[in-house]
Amino acid sequence: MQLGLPEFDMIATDTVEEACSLFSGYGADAQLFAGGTDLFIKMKQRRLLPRMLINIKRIPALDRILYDADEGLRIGALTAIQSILDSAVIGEKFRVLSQAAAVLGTPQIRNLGTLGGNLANASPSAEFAPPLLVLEASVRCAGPGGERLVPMNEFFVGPGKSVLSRGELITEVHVPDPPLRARCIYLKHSLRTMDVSMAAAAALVSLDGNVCREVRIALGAVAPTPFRARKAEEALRGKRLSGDSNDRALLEEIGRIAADESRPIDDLRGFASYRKKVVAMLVRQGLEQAIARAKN
Amino acid sequence: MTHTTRLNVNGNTREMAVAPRQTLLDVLTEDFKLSRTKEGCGIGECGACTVYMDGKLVSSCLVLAMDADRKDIVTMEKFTTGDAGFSPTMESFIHPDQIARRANFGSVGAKTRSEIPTFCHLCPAHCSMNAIVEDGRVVDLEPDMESGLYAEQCAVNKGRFTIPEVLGHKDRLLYPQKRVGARGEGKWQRISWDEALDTVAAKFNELKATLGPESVAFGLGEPKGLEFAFGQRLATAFGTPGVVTPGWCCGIPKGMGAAFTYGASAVCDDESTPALIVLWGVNMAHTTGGLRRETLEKTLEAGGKIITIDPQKTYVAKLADLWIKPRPGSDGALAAGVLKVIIEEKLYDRDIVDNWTVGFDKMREHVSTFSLDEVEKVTWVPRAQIEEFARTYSRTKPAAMHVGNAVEQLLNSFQTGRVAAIMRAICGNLNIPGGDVMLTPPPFTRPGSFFLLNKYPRRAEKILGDKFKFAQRSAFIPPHVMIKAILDEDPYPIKAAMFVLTNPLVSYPNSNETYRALMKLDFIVISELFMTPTAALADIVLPAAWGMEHEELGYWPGWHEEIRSYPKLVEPPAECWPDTKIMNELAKRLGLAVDFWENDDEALDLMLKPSGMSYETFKEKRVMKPTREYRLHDYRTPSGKIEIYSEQLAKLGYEPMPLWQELGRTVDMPEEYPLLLTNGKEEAYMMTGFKHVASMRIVRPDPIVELHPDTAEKYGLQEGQWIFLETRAGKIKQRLSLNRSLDPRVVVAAFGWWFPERDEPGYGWRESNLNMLVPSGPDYDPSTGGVTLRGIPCKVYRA
Repeated sequence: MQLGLPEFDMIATDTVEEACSLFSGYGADAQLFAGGTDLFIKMKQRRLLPRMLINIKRIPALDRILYDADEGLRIGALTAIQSILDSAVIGEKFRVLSQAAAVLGTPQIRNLGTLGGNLANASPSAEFAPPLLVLEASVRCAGPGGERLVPMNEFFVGPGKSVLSRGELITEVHVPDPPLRARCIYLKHSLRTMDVSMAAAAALVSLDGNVCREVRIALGAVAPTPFRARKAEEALRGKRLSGDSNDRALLEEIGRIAADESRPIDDLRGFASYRKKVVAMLVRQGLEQAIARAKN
Repeated sequence: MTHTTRLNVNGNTREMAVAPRQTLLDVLTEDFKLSRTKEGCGIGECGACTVYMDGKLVSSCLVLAMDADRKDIVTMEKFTTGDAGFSPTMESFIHPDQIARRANFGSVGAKTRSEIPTFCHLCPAHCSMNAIVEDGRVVDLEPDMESGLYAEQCAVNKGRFTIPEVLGHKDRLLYPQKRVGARGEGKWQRISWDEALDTVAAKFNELKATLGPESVAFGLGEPKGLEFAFGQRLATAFGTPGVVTPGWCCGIPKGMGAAFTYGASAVCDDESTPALIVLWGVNMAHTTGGLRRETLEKTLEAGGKIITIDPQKTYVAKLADLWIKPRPGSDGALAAGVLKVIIEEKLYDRDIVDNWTVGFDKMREHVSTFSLDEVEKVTWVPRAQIEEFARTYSRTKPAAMHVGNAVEQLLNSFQTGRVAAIMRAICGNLNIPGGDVMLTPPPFTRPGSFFLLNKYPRRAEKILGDKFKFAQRSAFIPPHVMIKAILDEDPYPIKAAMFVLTNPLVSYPNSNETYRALMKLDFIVISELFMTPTAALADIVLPAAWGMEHEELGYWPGWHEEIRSYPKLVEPPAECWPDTKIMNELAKRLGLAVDFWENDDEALDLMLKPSGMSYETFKEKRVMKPTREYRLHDYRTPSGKIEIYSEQLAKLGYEPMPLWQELGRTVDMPEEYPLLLTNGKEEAYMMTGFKHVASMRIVRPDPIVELHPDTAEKYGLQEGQWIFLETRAGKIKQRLSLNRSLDPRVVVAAFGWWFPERDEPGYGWRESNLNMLVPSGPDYDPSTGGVTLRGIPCKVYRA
């Protein structure tokens, strides 16, 4: 017999301000509720037992995708994963986000889960973290003290922990346009496509002729938080690609550097040593694919 | 706090008050009685509960009912009601993205891919599946909806996820190993198969020469392929009666109950639609047994009724018209009460009773000696429910009654099985379409004749004396008998044991005692897939190949009376051998070659010999099914009648008629243990196995104990905490979940827990393992030697 949900009360709100004040008012007993796809699992498994859920799903204007050339892309926190996958503008200009959406769970989960939830849950394997890290996105957070914009690389603090403080919620994710002609790839390795990743990597490359001008690499599921592999980026930045088999050796080396930067754990899905190998492979493949696209 | 919610399901609108914690699935099951849209994993992984909500597919287990207010809900029932069985339409709801379920073992861009029809070998349903094999690895098992063979919706995707994961698991045992440190220290050395088997053979033959063959015991788990039959055959040929199997708690008590009442077992008739299904101590949505899930669906859709008997509000209790919540362990008393009502209100079939029974008058006299008030007191079941059960069961035709394993784990399981058999027979539900039917098996070698060779009598009396005669007849000894022989050398010493795919340290009652016994043995050999708490105590650990890694026949569960072929699809990893090969090769080295084969695969042909087919031919056919003749009044007893009173039993020294003194028996509750412990099997796992499987472990990451909120409050316990459970046998801790549908006197704990991820030799077997709490006697079912696993006095407190 599967466990049902524990007992709780529910309160709904339709403004960000009220959500913040309720959330801080109830203190540690409350949780925000949007998609429920992570929250309800923790509750059913009795690992999280809020007495009060604050339903924020009806707050207007948090479920939208906006793009303009000056401000870039803004995705409301309540946007469903499936809406990101379906968005034409994201598919055209921020395809790496569509890639991440496509491999998050199943359609049933993508229709329920939200982008804000994926980030606020702060799993080391959060599907959107590596792509948003290489896109240098920011998270707009609203709290009792007002709003703040947190750069993505400062958002995650540890497994299940972000900078969000009590009473604070994500309202929007802001994604600037990527550097000119940059190409970006997200690759995930998991037991099955629908499963959480054993290791994930996003790679962004822009070329100046044959020179790697901008290189960004972010890794997921192989450290307490998703993170930028700065040493690996540094090792490739400014390098000239020869267009022959030497490139493969170079990118393999970058993969190894990224693997050295990772700090994976052993678990039921794989040994840490296996995860490091996967990181090296994903980074090399991701860079190869990003470079191939950047050349076109 | 409840919320008024208007639900529009498949065009039917209903307004209802729902609590925040109720999911859309809860309401679809309990209020709309939908049974195709099912509870599976409960966490959005398996797809079994998928519905459209305002045009979008969602997992209804993760949607609150109040959030579905005024939304348009469309379920698979809208398109499939009335269709028999599992269909592509259902599958399109459940797995809209098939490919997402395919395991990826690191090979990007498979070079070879094939789809091979076979059967899932994980749970007793043995569904027909298409195995997807890529580059020599099984990456998925897709449901077979084309062959017409039995394939049901695997609600939790247990086989589909577990099998590929286990076949490719990083923790599989790969080589024979021998212990080099102290027993249980976790120090191993890789050795060759020759060294391993020679070591085992030398040890066993040395013991045979000095102390006799009975000083070597065997422990076998639930039959998977032919390994159980090989284990039995090896024990028989070697000459030891010491074979522990799960028979005492699975199949034998009710099978014997039926056999002594009407001559043979009967199972629910899946070919027809019962008007009533009684589910007694079984949640077949997750643990399918003698009744298929789709029979439940078609019965409900045809307007049939369900009666569920279970201390927990299981999935089938939610679907039930009558849910009876007995005191754990009081099923015998409940059965007695129901039989009393059937007899005293003359609800039985008069013709059957007048012409086809022996001992009815004695039973009528006997049921007048106890009152329904007494039954109510023992069972906690209100008298009105006992009467309703009796009246509904006797008046609704045809009625099928599935008695689950929970009822086989009592001190009076055999006599309880007898009462259930009598109820069936005198109410006219035996051998009628949609009732309970006897199956005629297809022609294959009976497993019993494969493993009990006439020329070598088992001589079970050597170890069992004149006790536990049904154990003797069923080729097993209860676990406590083996443990006693090891620890007390009573009636003789057991010095060595061979275990085959079984984990006694976690699966036998009284783990502390089992541990002492295993530590005392001179020699332990085990064949396993993974290092387990039991394997960790062995001298020699042999790596077993699993189903799909070798050619195999499956005949289990016996009550389905079918035989299936399981073709070899992939190579076993490294040096893994099939268990059948291990035992065949060991037999040769033990000097028993005359009863074994050059190659273990030859046994496949022997099993099929009565059919006139070779294994190679049978592989094309895949399965042979039993027939059902619905022979009315076909009672294969000495009298040719329904033996309510059995002379045979009297001759064996057992009570010839089930009596209230026996059925109404319950364990004493000492003051210091004021609660009653019971358990249910977890849907994510098979018994004690497969906690390594990541996709199942996320369904049930921790051992969970459930209490009523008032009980938790009384003892100062908070939900989510780890709490101690203690009985007179020991104590463990599990994580607390509160459940208002339980009786406040009941504790429902998780079974079979250990922690393969722990970096310690015993994998934490003492910490949360239910069998730490289960006393191993001296109170036994006199016929089988079973102990009770239900209703054990217990207390709970903060960890």
